[in-house]
Amino acid sequence: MPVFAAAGVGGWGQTQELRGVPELRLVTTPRHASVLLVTGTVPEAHLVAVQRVHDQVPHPRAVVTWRAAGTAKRMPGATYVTGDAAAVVTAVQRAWSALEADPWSTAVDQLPDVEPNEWRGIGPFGQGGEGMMGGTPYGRPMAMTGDDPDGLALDELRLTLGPFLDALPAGLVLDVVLQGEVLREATLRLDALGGTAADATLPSEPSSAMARSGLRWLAHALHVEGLDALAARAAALASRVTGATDRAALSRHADALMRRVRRTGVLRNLHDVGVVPGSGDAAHRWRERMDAIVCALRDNQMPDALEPTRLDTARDLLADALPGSTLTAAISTIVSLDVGGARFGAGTLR
Amino acid sequence: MSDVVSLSPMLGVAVIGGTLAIGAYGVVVIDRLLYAAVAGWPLSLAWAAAQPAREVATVIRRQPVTTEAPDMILWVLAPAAYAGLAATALSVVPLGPGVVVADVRTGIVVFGAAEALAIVAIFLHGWAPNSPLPMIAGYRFVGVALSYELLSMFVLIAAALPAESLSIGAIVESQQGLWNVVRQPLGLPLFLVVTAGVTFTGPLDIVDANDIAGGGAAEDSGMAHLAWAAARAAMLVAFAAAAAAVFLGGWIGPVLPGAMWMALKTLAVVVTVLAGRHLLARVRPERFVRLAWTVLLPLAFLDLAIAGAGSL
Repeated sequence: MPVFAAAGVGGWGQTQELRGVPELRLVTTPRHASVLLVTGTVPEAHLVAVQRVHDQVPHPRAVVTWRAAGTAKRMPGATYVTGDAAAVVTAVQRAWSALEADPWSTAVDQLPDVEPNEWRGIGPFGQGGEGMMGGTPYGRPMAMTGDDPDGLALDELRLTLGPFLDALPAGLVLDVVLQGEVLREATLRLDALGGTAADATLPSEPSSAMARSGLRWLAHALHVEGLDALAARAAALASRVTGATDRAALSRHADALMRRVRRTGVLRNLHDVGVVPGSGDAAHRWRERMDAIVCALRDNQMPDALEPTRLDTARDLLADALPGSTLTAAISTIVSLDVGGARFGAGTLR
Repeated sequence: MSDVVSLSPMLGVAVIGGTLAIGAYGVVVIDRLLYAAVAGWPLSLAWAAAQPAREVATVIRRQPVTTEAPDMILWVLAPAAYAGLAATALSVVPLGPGVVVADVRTGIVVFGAAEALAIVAIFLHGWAPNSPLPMIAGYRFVGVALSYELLSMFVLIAAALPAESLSIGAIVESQQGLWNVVRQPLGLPLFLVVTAGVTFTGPLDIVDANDIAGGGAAEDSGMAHLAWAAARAAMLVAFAAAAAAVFLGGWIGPVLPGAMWMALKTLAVVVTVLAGRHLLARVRPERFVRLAWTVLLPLAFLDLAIAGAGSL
């Protein structure tokens, strides 16, 4: 069942674990989904964005909210689930069966099909620009030529990625100016989710919680690099960590997974990508985090390498690293830093 | 050389359409099986065999959503063109001893032309929705396409040298004593790179990639999504069949009927390419371009030189 997941506060980590569930298929775009799954509480600032995502899911569509008490009431007709992943699977299957029986029971659009801003001629929401280029007609920034480092005049495209882009951590917004696929400017925002603020509570098994959080990160990172089957394996492993009695067996499985991941060439591919002071390149960060996951499971430790990167730190680190890189390298870099993540993702923020 | 069986145009269309449809179905089944194997899920042929029908039933029911001010003609034509080019490419590949839909003496050239035109179809598929992420996917693809296209030209010409013909049927016949995969060991691996490129699979899945929300297909829904996915699978079948014919001796083999050998070899290539999809990470476009021009292209020259020396 193709599902698009939009994660709010507390929802991102548990969403990643759904990659290991055979009955669901997390898709990268709402256009490919039949069911929208809203996990965690979507902050007020992102409500319009999630409604926009909702309206992009083609009819007939169903909505399931998972541990999203604050958001459920804003999603009319949604099925509300509070249980575990199995409960989500059941809810998604039931919602889809109901749609098959009665396609007219589809969730109706939440936003009017109108322009985001009125046409105002020349000005902030008008054509502006020069000739047939540039400006922000209806509030949408259009491409305008700009000089590139080689002295050529190339189209500059202004884009906002997130807060529900599948490849980025939940709630993260990336404003970019692109020339081709090369970033000329990049700004990170994570204003609505509050970074690691919810991580004040120490879980009962902190090393397990850290390993689980690390495996969830790995599942997402593997997915972004195109390794969905291995992502499913990492996600399934993550879901078995909490309360596991045979930690040795888990660490062996994790070790085997890490060997398989290394053989994919993903670390070679990330070599020299996203080099930041004191943290090396993305491949280095992947290597450290993968070793730390195994270490946390095997030795009951809480390695520093599994610490997420706070947004303000990430902003400083990436200020020089992102401009000039390609979009794909920028996304790999952000993912490798686990920007805005939580130490103990299992129980709290993620 | 075997006598060539000429197929009437109607029969030819039916044979190509049927082969691509069955092949595309098989591609999805194999892909699901490989996915389950790598993910550590229980392997079930029945589950995998049911997947294509289930997915078609789900997708076809979905509303085709369009974007604001798309180029609708191109959006509709791109998957049709891509599938049509897969059919054109397959039409010059012999499916059994002397059984070929379009028995042209310049089969390799026709195949190469279909491969080159696929670039246009893939780019236009990214361009048509008038949406940033698909357009970025189109840019990316055009950026790397020339790098693998050149490989294709050299390895296919190298395979044609021993046959002294540009007909793919003649190339198969020339492998009676020794398959090209042995005679020209660099040819098949390089052609698999080309296959991954033109079908944007595995390490070269830079078009419909996860980091840009499905890239070229990010705005596809309903029939448009189904058509593009089917065209991709069909193109993989066409290239796998060509690899089987040009490098693995095509229909040549003992005991089993020639068409059966051809099907088995095509299947082996499909499994290899799809295994790469689940076991190899996506290569960054600029890294692939550097690799192609500094390593793969010289290897393709070497392959051509080996073939030339062997043909003296």
